[in-house]
Amino acid sequence: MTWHTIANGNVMDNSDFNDNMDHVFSGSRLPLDSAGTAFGSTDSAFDLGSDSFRHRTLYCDNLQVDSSYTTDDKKLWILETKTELTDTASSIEFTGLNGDGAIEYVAIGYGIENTATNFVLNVIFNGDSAANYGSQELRGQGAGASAARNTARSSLNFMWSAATTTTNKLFSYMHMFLKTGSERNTLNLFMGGETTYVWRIASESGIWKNTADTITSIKFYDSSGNGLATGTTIYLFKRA
Amino acid sequence: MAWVTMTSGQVADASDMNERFNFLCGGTRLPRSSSGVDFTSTTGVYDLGSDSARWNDVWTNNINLDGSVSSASNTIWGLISEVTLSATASSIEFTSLTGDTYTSMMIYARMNVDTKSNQFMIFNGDSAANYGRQFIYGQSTSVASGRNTGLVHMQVGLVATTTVRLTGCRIMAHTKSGHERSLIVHTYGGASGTTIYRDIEWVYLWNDTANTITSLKIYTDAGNFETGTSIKLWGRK
Repeated sequence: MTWHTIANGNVMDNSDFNDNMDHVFSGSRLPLDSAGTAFGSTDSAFDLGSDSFRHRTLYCDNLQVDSSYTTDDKKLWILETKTELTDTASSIEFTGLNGDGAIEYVAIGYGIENTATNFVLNVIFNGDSAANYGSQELRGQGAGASAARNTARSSLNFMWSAATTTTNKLFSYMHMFLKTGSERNTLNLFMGGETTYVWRIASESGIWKNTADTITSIKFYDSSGNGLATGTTIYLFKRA
Repeated sequence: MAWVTMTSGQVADASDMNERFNFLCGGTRLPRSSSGVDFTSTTGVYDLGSDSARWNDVWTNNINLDGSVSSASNTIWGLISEVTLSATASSIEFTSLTGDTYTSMMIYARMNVDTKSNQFMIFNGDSAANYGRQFIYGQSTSVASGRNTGLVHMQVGLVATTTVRLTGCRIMAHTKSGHERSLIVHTYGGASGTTIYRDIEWVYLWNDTANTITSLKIYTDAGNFETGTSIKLWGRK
């Protein structure tokens, strides 16, 4: 099936016209170029609809997207970015964020101790390491349950372990409300352990007293000096 | 509006031409057959774009999917499977999973059990002593904590009495092989009226570092899950 260009002043053969219609209708709908000659396939060049001229509903069996998703009312949780370390490092930082745009973020971290010593991974916003953070913690370690409140902290805990005989694997789930206008809040639950030995569970509620600055970066950094091992991974999700 | 096939050598009727353009330009865009005759509507046959020839943006008020959602780099949480019991059962199992593909899974479970019992979860049918945990819970004004190693399963639910038989949990799991698998579980045990019997936070390790997670099973150690028990499994897709 070929595309027949209609020449001005000529009588068009009906079979050529049928071919052209088959070209348009047949098979999968591919984004074709608009040259008017070959109508070759294009990639990422054309839209379906526009911001002001929308289709009502897209019906399909499957949805496969290569880049981004957005909704008008932020109805989806979408991966904003992730870092999986391929070498040891002292921090993982996500920049170029817009805390007022997403409003809420979720960070899911899988941490691997670099050495069998203590490991502390803290989180700060916009590079602020002044005494502007506070927390209330609930901890379970063996049969010991404890609680603590801290004010005027220079960071919040993301995950940590003080065990010195194991190379702990740590896991953290932190939900963050990051819109300006009031203090920013976090809810975090994290753990650490190795093989079948879980060293600690900790639940921490955090607050950052800055009410004015749009959050543009979140930095997770090792404050123990022992570093993050290869394989340490942090996913940052946002509402979009 | 009817599709009229044009015949070579004949003069096309203008109204037939108009109808063709109405087919092409008018109203809703439907996926049509490629017979070249009547272009009847089809369902589940044709794609919009392809892996190497993509539309740029799709602007639509709604997206209605019947099947799956996927992305090139697992950027969205998609439902893998959902089970709501229409008859009693002692377990619910999800199979044919690919834990290394999802890398993370979420589970939301609301479980009604017909007797005092505990609810457990295992991966890949592994009921050997390969699980460990640390937990902390609150029960009225009491707080308690504990650690266990060498467990044969991971507890995710608790029905503490024979009369208060609703429990539920949210589970976040790191499911990628290469290291121990980690889970954070938040459970309410024994809910009735305005009373929650216990709030529990458990964290677990499964010490299998090599095997891709292909199944997970949630079961009760006594009685059965009742009709309406619902478990939703999500993965990054």
